[in-house]
Amino acid sequence: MIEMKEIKKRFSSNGSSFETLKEVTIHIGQGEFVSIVGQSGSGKSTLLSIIGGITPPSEGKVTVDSIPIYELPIEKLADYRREYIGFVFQQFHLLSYLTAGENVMLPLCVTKHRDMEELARSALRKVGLEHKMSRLPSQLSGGEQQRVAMARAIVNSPPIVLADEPTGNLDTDTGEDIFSLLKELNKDGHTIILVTHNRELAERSQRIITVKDGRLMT
Amino acid sequence: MRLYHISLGNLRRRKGKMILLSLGLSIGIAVVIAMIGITSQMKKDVEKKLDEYGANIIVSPKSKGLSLHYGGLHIGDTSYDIEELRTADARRVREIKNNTNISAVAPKIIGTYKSSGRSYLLVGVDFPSELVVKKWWQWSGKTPDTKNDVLIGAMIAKNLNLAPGNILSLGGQDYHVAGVLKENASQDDFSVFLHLETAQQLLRKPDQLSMIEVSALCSACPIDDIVAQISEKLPYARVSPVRQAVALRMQTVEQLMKFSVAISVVIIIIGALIVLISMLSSVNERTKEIGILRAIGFRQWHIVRVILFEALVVSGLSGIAGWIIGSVSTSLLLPVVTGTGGFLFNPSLLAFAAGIAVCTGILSSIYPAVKASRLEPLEALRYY
Repeated sequence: MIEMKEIKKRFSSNGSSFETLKEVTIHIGQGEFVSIVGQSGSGKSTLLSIIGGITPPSEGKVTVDSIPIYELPIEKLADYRREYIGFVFQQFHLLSYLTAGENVMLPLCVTKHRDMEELARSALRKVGLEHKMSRLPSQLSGGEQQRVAMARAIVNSPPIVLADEPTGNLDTDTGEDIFSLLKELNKDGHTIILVTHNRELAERSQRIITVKDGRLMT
Repeated sequence: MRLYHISLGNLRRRKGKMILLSLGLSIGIAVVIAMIGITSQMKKDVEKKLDEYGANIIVSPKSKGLSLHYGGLHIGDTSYDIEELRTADARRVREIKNNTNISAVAPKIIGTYKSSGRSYLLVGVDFPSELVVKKWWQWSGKTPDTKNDVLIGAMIAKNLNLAPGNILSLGGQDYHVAGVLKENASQDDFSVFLHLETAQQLLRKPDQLSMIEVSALCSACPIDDIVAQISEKLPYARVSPVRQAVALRMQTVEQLMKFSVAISVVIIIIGALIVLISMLSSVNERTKEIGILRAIGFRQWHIVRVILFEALVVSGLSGIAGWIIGSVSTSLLLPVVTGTGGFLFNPSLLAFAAGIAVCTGILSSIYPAVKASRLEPLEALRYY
């Protein structure tokens, strides 16, 4: 499903350039639950961003369902992100002035889904927050906010869910809940790619990819 | 949930800043509305005063030759006239389609008259109309009232040693000098003004007119239309617009309007800059949010729409508020500035105010909106 071939990623800063990813090649099959682990700055989040279509590789090719995503026009790439990817971020990234329900509806509102509200309700039900649909993020706990973010990630049933340190800002129990939810989503058929520092959580996934200094360790 | 919910939500969140932005734009629009209100009132006022200043159309008989002049204008001599103007013609001028534009119709007969070995230039007029047309006249004594009352020029009074209340004898008939005109360095100084019918009898031209002076009140001054309509009513007369008077009116009005437009343009440019700076600041503050929206699949166009909708709401409301503030200010300022009042709330100005505000708001927000839409999602997410 996801093919990354000889991916290199360079960043430039203050006139100097450094390579975050060095000739990374990965295949991730449909329905897999993959954890990417590595030290800070190893390139694991960059890898996730490249799969998610939010930053192009400097070299190499990424195909998802045989679609070379970085050869798509910029607006089609936005459509790819909306239709194929559900993002869960460490810092939740909810819009503070929208309710939980409205935050969940965000990916749907650009396509003017007819049953938008019902889909949002159903997504919130999956994460156990249907009853807090009209709450603002500031009225929710950190774990609840992350669950709302997860509901937003799955509301339009994307085949791939990318989670970047989703438990990083949560206590152990809440982190465990979030991980369980990711497992449930995987059972529902979503391909899950989790970036985490937590080796213990990673070991409960189907496969672990370790990134060190921009290279994959086998 | 629609895209505009995001815009409205953000406006609610940034309430204070948006109110300040709206206030800035409203004041700009209010000044433009007040400028328009005051200048249009001034324009009407100037037009009225200029129109009152004198005749701007002369109706005279069609003639073959030039034999008599009055005030620099040619009047056909009866001996060569092929057509004549009659007293009824003055009434017919009032029957034209644009009769509401006519403020005065002043018929007159002019001729020389010899009495007791002296020659007099007699001008028979309809005093009420004549005094409307000759606003600049000043005289001592009283306004001519009865058929025996006359108004005499300053030089006649001086030469004959006449003063208001004295008697002037013409053809054995005594006339009461009601007033003496102040010297105005024109042919009026040598003329005797008397009632139209009286003059027609003395000059033995009953029911005849030498000319008709017409004063037309005109904002857009359809002077050519009025001339054409009078010509149609009086095909045997020559109808001439006094171009200089019309040109002066138009020039004055145009200068007023140009001044108003120039000030308005400057104000609108300042308003546009305020919006531009404010929207750029808003976009910078929302870099992370824009990154989130882009990451979850918003197209660039969706981001542009969210930001432009915010601009539309703020500028639309500013336009309405500006219209209200501007209209109230105009009502309060008019009596001070022009000495007139009566400014009414004009709904078409509301559409204008909202239109100008929205155009200013949208055009000034295009650059910030495009800038926001071009943010790279990853870079935007790393912003904080």
